[in-house]
Amino acid sequence: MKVTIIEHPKVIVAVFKGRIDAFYAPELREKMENYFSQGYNNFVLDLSDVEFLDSAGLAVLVSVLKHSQQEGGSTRLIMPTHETARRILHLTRFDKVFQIMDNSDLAVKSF
Amino acid sequence: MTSRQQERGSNTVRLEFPASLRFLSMVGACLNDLLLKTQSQEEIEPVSYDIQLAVQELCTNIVCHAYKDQPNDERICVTITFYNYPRRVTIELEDTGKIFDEMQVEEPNLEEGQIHGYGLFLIKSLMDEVIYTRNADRNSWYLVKNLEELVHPQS
Repeated sequence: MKVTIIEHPKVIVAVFKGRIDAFYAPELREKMENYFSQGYNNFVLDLSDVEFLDSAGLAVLVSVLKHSQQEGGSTRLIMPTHETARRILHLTRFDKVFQIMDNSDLAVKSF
Repeated sequence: MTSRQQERGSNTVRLEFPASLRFLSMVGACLNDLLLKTQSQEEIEPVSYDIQLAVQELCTNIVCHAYKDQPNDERICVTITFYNYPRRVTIELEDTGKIFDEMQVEEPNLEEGQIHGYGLFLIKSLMDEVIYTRNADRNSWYLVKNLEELVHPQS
């Protein structure tokens, strides 16, 4: 798992790559909470290159969504290109719960 | 020995590993490799993903709940069996941790995202059969995934 963070003036873009599972979830959660404490409330979660997502990974995504909503911001999601990972997000209806964007650039501009 | 026992014996693989989240990806890779013995990567990818995810969810539950607050030398046993008639794969997971109480697990509300509750939902959604039993001091999970819909099996 690899995560690249891009800091924009009002938006944090987190680009994930590989697996987001129970082993990596605590590290990811800590990274994202670091930005919560800095006062960020708008996030783009780019899952384009995510190959595998489990429930612990889903929980990290929801924690970002909940935080942004509580702080008056919002979270946009870029769906994985891997069909199998996309299927999990459809199954859990994350494609309805999150605002889905085609790519990170469009997502950042939408704020 | 019955033909079913013979089939099971020749198509069964057992894994035993420490109950640690560090081994999750290893179990998934192992399952995928085993499934590749029966189908091509392209054919097996969706079903392999489902099985890997279901098994990974169960392993995570075992590590984080069944073995919570227990010594670090606990282990998980996974037995994978392929059957040809009808084509299916069964996975049995065993641990000696705390009893699983499904009444404690809330169904996820899919209309709004939530932090907990997706694990068992995913397992039940992705597998064709999920059976939990408690035998003496052991938890046993029995999962079935039918492979009938997959075509062109390799000989």
